Amino acid sequence: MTAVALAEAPAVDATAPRRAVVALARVESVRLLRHPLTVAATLFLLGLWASTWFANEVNHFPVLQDVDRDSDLGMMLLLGSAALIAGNLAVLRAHRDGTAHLGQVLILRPRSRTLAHLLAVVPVAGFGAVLILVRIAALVLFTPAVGRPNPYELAIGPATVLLLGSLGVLLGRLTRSAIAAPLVLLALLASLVVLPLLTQGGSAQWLQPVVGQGDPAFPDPVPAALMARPAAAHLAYLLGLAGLLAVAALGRGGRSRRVAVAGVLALALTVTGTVLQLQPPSRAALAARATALNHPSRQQTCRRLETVTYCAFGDFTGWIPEWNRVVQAVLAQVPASARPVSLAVRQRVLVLGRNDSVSAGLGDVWRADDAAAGTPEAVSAGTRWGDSASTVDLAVLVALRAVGGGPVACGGPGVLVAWLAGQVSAQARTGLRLRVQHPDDRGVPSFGQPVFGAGVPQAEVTVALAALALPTATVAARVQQSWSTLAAPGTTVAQAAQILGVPAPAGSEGGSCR
Amino acid sequence: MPVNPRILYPLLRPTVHAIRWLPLAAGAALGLAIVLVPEALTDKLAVAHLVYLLRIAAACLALGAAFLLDDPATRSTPAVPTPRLARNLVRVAVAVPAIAVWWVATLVLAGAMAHRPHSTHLPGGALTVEAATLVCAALALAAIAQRLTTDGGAGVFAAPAVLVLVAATWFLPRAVALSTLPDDPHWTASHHRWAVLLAAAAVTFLAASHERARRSGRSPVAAGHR
Repeated sequence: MTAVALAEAPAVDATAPRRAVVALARVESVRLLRHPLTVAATLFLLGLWASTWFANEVNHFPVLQDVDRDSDLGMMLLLGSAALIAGNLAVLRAHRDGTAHLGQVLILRPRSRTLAHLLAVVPVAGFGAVLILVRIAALVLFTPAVGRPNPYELAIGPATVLLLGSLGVLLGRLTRSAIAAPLVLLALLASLVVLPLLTQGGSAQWLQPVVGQGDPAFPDPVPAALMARPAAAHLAYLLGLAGLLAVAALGRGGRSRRVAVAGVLALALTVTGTVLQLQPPSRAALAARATALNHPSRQQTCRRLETVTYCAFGDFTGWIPEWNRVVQAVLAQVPASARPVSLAVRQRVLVLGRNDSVSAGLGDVWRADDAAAGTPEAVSAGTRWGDSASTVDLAVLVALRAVGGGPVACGGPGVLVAWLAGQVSAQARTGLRLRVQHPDDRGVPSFGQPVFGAGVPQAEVTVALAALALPTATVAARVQQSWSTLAAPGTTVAQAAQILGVPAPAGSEGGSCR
Repeated sequence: MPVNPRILYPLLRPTVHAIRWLPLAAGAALGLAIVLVPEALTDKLAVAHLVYLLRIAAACLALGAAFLLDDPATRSTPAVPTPRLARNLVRVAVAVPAIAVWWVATLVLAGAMAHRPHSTHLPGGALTVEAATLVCAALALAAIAQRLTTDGGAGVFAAPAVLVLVAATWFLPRAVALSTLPDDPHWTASHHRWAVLLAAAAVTFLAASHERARRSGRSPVAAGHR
């Protein structure tokens, strides 16, 4: 009888531990995704992303190559923290409930249980990836967004969730105290406050998990091809670090060849990522930046809309209809005889050199480039759109082109330029008002970039703002009637105020006019 | 149930032994390191950075305070005559002097090590209100956890909840912002809001620690008979 029983003993199923790990990972991942911390983090993250829409009008016209890196910091702080603490609590649950000894009689060894906890973090990272993709999709479908997001940059957010989740599991294996994970999180936050001061925008900042700041050479958004952020190397660095933490958590259960091999691979990935991401931008990238700064016409495409030629970088051509709205609103109030024959609007980017400087001969270089491209005296447009500053800048520069004269418009022409710009929209009026409150170093409200910009003294803008308070049709009629008087260089502010029917400003200051 | 204060004095020494000091000590040590180490590493810290670091240190301390009400003997204490509110107050009374001494030491050291133009501008009083609110909120959350759990592990629930509250204070809209900077015009108004939250946290702690009467008909002999 005993011999028969022994002969019929079933063979042990070799894949049972692997299936058990997967089953445990599935159960734990559901618990992680359902955890109140994950739910709270998701709600906060969505609220944060929704609130950026209302925080600044510029966000109504998002530039996707900046949105992708902005999303990563919020994801790390919120969803990553939830993964860290919830993952840690999951590992400690057996100790808290007093069932650690019961676990020892089951078929899974502690190392396999730890592996299951590590695998359970992956769906949380996947959930983070879904959130980021939903955000980008919503922006692309429902807003006039321009540009291209970098897929590696988008993946950095979920990679930080993976990293922090692995850290939580490692802390759970190192100590049974539930305070370890929250304290590590706060230490990480403190390092985020201090590290930017230590690295000062140099390449060492890439050792942080998320680099939310852009390149200091670009004060404004730039085409994606110029950015040269080492996103792929940084992703490799983060995944390698997550692998190292995972191997450290698994290694506590004694030596194993597979764990050692995984550790070596993770180390290689980390070192490769670190070395690559600390390199300065390549020579090709620097050459592209120089071309974009000095000869933008070589990288831009042009479109002609109703007698105006618009030239923009490939990423930003989606905004040309918006620019056209403002330009046509200005030109509509200019008498047909006075309209410029060939008006061009060219987008420009600023690439700052050392000490945030711009080279002195930039104006001549731009003028030569415009002439070579067949758009002489092009009006400059920037890479930001949607707020009052960008609207009023473009409107003032176009109005100055129509009225004629030098970079600082004084007297009658100044009032005319300011009025033409302000009547475009309420946003332009707000822009005028803000520029009067914050003039440049010489005390003159200035519009546009320092090179090829314009200035209109405060007295002239104040008169124009007073005229804008009157009904537009009345003032427009007066402008059309007295166009030549208003546009003549010798007209004073008081005379212009009288023509438009507003009180003249107190005191005559001609000092700011050169 | 009215409590005779004389029975609380013998509780003091056993409570000192019963409290889990390790989380509080770990939180206090990390908080001190967070404030002092950056000042030793770089001299570019502005008042804004010091304010952020002090806030994070206060959060570390609040995390430690969340474990003050942990009691592994919870399952055997529903039967004792001393109400839970009195026991919690004894624990708080034992721990608060230590917390206060640590906070004052941190502020003084941060001011002393900060570089000359900034040391006189640290808004100590305002930051103390914020730290007191965080500690009080941690204690209130721990008291709520005591009602919800039966194994005495109040800190495990309260510590992540404190972090969620801290995150909430960072993400409020501007009109009711709580994490402002000293040169912000809303600084004083936001600290009035912090004071209101401090009062609310104290009231929550007292209300959550209070044990419901189990039966509506109480024997008049039991009250006051000790």
